[in-house]
Amino acid sequence: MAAGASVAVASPAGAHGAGGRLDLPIPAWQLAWAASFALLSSFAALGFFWNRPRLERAAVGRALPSWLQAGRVLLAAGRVLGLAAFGAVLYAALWGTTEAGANISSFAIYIIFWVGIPLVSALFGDVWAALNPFYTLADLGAWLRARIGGRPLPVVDRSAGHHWWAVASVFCFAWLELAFHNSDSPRAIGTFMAVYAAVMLTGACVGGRGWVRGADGFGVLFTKIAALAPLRRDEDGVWRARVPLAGLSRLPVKPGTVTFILTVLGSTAFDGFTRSSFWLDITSGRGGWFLTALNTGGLVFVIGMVMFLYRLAIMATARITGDSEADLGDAFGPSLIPIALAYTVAHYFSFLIFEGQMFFSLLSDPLAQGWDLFGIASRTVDYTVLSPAAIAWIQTAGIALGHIAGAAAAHDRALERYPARLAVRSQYPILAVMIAYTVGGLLLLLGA
Amino acid sequence: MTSAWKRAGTAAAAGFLLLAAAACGGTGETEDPVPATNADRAAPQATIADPPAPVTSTTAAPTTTVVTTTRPTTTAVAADSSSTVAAPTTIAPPTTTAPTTTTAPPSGTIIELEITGGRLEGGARREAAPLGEEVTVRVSGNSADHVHVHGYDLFLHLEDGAGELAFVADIPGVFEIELEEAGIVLVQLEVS
Repeated sequence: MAAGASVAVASPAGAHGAGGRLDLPIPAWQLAWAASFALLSSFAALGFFWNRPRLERAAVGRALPSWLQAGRVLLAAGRVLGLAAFGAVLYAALWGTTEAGANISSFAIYIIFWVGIPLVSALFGDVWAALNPFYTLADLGAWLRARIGGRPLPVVDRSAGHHWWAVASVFCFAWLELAFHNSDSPRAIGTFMAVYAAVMLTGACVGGRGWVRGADGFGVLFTKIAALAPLRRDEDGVWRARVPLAGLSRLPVKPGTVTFILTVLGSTAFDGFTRSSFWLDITSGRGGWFLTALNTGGLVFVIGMVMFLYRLAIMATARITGDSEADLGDAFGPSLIPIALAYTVAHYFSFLIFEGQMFFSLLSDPLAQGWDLFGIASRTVDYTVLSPAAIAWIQTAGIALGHIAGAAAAHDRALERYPARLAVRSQYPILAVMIAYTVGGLLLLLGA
Repeated sequence: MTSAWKRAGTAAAAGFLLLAAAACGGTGETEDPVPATNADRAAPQATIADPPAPVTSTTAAPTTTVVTTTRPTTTAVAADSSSTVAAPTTIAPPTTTAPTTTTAPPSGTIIELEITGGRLEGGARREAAPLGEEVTVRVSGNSADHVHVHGYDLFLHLEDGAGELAFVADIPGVFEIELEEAGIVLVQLEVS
């Protein structure tokens, strides 16, 4: 190596939470395929063959045989693991090295947690509910309180109020990851985790265990994504298999729930938007808090646009069906969840595959003490595990499939509410907005 | 129940066929963009690649391959700033041992960045480089900072605000080249 230059370990980029490599723009012809596929499937969904609601009945599912039922031991292990992982990452973030690329916290939070858990949830059900350290701590507190007071342990009150706390928590997280100029700083991540935990635990003390279940934005999001999964654990703790997507028909919609989903969708869209050369021109030469301010404006704007489009569609639907807008907005909100997941896959899949490798290298030396627990500490990211073409296909297929799932779920919901003819007509505006999201999502991948 | 699913399947298949038919019927539409975008990408590369001397491409081609093979895969050179800025052509290929390369320009993509007062002249931009070829980042100006090529994780320490970094672009993707301490994106490098 010549003098004057040195090669350091991978260090996450400042613009996003972590990561050094962004995806190549997808080819235009591939975009054309995905978009026409989405359009076609939308028209197919308009009731050529699906003329009575199916998802609601399928949502219960069939109980798995007893040998496949996860025991209490496994669940207890999950709770211990979740708590230990939270503690370890918090420790590394607050007291570990300040060099972002050598600290495990940014990889653990932005990649394994924020990208990995949703994907696992969509496939295998609500794993986060079994790991969530805030649930565990709140449950522990409730148990202690009941024990000391000599009262029986109260049941979890899930009926509680609204999802506005959850909206605030995911917005704060999105701001930290996408808008804050120093998002990969371990101390910033640690501070966020500490404040978040403090808010959750204070809330649990005041509002009980049910409060945490409605206020922890991550828990709320992952539970919603798990509604897509072909597996679920019912109220009696029995694992059941069901048709994928079916869970969407039974998601409770509270005040704030739809805003919550749109916030998640909008923030992912903003992340794609920041990679465009248009945004590059705007932020050119900007750093520090000025960049943060610009990003914050952009984040709010994109989320606002996503909400505005949805609002428009709901207003149009209300004119067709004569129902109230608030009622309709809540009814069709859950059908946006597959689209939110599709955006996640499209924007972060390669991130998980590539930068996720750093997480495992760093597991070997989690506190940057020069350890090498598993003999892989010096391993760097292998960018050849997936070709750019394969990634481009996963991205476009993800967006197209998410669109189909969303359209199908919306159609099913319309059939639940209206006779078949009106159901089809009521869907025109919703489908139009879904097509707008999908084509918009694809255009962001084009990286124009 | 089952018959309905079957019908759904046939409808989906019909949809696919329709789409395939549409795609085949409009081959002009679906296939056109490919060569078009390739051409778009190729054009700026050519202009960036050899600013110093207009090359007679047929004779230059073999000599440039000699140059690239004699170099190590990743070299980083802290260039003497004055000579770098003043006359890029003179120092272009460090391997003067290569035969008949007295006037050969450096192969691959050259990205010239002028950074004054922590700002890039002309603002951040996107640059394209072909996969497997050499990229040279040449910085002039007055900023005491580091330039970081993300993904490749190469650092260029600027001495007196100048320096040069050459590497083989062997990872496809889009990479940010950042003025590290200022936290400013200079270039989005697209390797494909």
